[in-house]
Amino acid sequence: MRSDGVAVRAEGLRIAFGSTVAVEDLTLEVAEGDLVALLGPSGCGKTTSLRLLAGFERPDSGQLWLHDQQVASDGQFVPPERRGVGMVFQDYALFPHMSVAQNVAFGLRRGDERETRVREALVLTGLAALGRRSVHELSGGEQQRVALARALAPRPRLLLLDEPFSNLDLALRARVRAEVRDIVKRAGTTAVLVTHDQEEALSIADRVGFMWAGVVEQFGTPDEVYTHPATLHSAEFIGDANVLRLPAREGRVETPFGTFAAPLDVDSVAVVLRPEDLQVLPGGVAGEVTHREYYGHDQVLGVRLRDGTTVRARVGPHERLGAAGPISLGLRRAPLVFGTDG
Amino acid sequence: MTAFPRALTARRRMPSPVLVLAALAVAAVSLLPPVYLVVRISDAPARAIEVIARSSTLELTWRTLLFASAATALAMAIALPMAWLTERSDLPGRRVLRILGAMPLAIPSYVGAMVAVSALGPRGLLQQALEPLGVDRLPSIYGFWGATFVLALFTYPYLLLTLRPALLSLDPRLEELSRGFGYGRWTTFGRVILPQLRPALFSGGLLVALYALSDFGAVSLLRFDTLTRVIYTSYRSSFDRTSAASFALVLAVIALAIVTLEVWSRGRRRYDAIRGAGRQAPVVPLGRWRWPALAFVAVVIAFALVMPAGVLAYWLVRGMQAGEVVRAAWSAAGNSVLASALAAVAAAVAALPVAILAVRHRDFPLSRPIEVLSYTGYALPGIVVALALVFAGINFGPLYQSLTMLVLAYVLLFLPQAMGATRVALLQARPSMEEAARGLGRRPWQVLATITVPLASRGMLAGAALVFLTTMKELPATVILHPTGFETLAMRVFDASREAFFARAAFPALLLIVLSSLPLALMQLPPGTRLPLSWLARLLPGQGTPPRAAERAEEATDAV
Repeated sequence: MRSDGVAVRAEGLRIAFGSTVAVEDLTLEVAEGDLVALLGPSGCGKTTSLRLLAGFERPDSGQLWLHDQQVASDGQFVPPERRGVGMVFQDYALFPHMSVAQNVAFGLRRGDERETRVREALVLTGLAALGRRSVHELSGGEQQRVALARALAPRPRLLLLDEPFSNLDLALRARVRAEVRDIVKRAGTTAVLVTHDQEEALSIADRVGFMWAGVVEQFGTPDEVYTHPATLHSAEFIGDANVLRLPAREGRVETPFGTFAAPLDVDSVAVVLRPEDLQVLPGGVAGEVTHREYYGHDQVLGVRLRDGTTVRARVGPHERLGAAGPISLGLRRAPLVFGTDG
Repeated sequence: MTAFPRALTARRRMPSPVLVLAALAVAAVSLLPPVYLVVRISDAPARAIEVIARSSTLELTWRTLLFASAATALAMAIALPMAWLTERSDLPGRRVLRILGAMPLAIPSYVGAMVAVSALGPRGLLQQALEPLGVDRLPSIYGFWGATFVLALFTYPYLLLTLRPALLSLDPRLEELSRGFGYGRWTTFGRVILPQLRPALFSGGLLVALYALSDFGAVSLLRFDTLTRVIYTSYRSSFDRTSAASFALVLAVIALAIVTLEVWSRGRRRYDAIRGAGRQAPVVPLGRWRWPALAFVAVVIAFALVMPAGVLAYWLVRGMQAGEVVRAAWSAAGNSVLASALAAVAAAVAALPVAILAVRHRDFPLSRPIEVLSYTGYALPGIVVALALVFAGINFGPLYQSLTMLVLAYVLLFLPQAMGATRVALLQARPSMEEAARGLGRRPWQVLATITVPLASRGMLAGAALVFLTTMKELPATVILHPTGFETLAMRVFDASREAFFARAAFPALLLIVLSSLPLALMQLPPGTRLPLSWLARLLPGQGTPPRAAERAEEATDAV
């Protein structure tokens, strides 16, 4: 009954635990084959959203379709075992009383194909040699791949991953991330993963849903979300941002870098300047460098402008600047302006 | 909108109605003894008040309390140094002593009492041996001190087993810190170690105190009147139901008060929050205290283990020489094993729904009350449960003096042991595993069968083994509720030793000890455990409570 090519369609899903509203409004549409990241600070409702998709939580209201099957609505609820959804838990939730192969086979019906499918899933995840091992004998990264293989073996229509990389150490994380994306893409499965790590979301997802206080505030490609944040929350949470809180008058706001358009109906605004949107510009806005963080590929300068405003500017590694001294800055592109009334 | 009120859907999914009904049934049965006692007494309230307010009753209550406190204090005085010496010091032979020290757990207190009477009593073995030297009188083994010593000697292992894991989990950095501030060993022990051991000391002490309160065999053989013994005599001799029920009520109230005290003493303070440095505390050299310390441990083990084994062996040989019939013990052994096995299975099955509710559906409003109710038998002495069932059984006709009723009494008494073990196991099996199984297409009952029960099976088995062992040794409820002609090993040992036929008691006593320790030996050890007995400590009631269990779950997480 729903259009083809849509793997998940959530409309206004809401759930409260007692008086705490965990998810206020989960609305999103995931295209088949896409890898989507739900990104947001802890407590924003992203894990609960994932559990709503899986069917571990029953929404108080709203509707949910997986492909063309409606799985949740008023008075209707399809339990998790009949949704065809694969889940990778944050703690992997491997069954300790089973071997690697038994874990992977768990979701498969008895039959001739079972063996073959287990082998395929193990090969896909690079675990072909470890089938007989006990899950206790595996490293963290291997355990994670077992969880992935187990979830993928029954060919789920949708794969859900809850903070899948948070239990891995930093050095391992970037590599495993790329591996997982590669595995999911080769399996051709639609996937939704939950993370609070913006770098993770931006680097592996096809689309990012930004969640704040139980609401999906923005849903778009990583570069859309980063360069055109829909809300101040998303601008502040995703990436580094200088936020200047200033008064606005008649649709204009005056900043040290000039006057910009503001929403007409507001008195106060937040002007967002990404550090990399500032550049060293002779004859620009004068200021003092107060500190310097040198990263190699670039450096971040703390600058106090004439009027007392402090900003962070990300400049190239070759700018020869001391840790203190005069500087003048200009803008590469117009800032984002959000109304902050009420 | 959902069909259920919001409070019920909170956090986790609703428990299935079958599960709730099963757990409710268990809770209802647990409630039977206390309710029945109260009903019984309210039949003749004036008479009950008269019995309870009698000065002799008050004196009896006082004497019982004094006895339980003295036995607990003495058991602590034995167990605390023994635990520390065998775990933390360079005591010679500590590995062996660690095992030997816990073994008196397998010896029921009435066997201990029988051994004490036959060895140290008037015309006992010791006096016979000393007679040529002109000693014709030994200090009396009977009465308060005898009972106190015997009880402490055969219950201190409960404390030892609760103290051990606590000692091992101490953070050595705290001791180093204290020493660094310039405090000596003794001050450090008093100010840093002892406070951390307090919860273990209290929960082990609780077990000893409850044991002393409900002990029937040892106090009877040692002729010391406690509430339990008086309840039995007034029930048997006069068939005076109201006074027996009144005494039982007093005893139940004392037991409940002690449990409440222990729970309250645990309070809100947390001892588990800060994890240790992840290394073992260093072994403390004893120096010149080495040999005195060894002598202390050796004396305890000599009295609690070597003496019973030796005396029983002596009487066995004497009995066989005198042509004592050994054969008849086999049918009693069969009865004991049958009743204990039934009780073990029934307790394990009954514990499962309650434990699942308590662990998996903590926010379901009925979970907590059901769990608390299922612990009723933990506090109630066997004689109280037995009396309540007698009163109830007379009304339920055919159940009275049937094997079913005896097994029911055992389940009521020992359900918490099965609960504790099952709870710990369920806590180790994280809920995400069950969700993973559902996500992979299994229905809720299939998840129960393929994930929950297999993961909890080791705990259920351990709980069942513990119930088996405890049931084998149980005396007061057995004496009152056994079907006519159904004699168990415990009854045979008690009856024979009451008549001072020690030779006749020896074989069943040895058989009892061997049979009841068998399931412990057979029990598979979980990975990383050194001793069955140290694991047993975790299963004792009060040890399955959240802090320790959470720690276990955490270990499991680390291991996976």
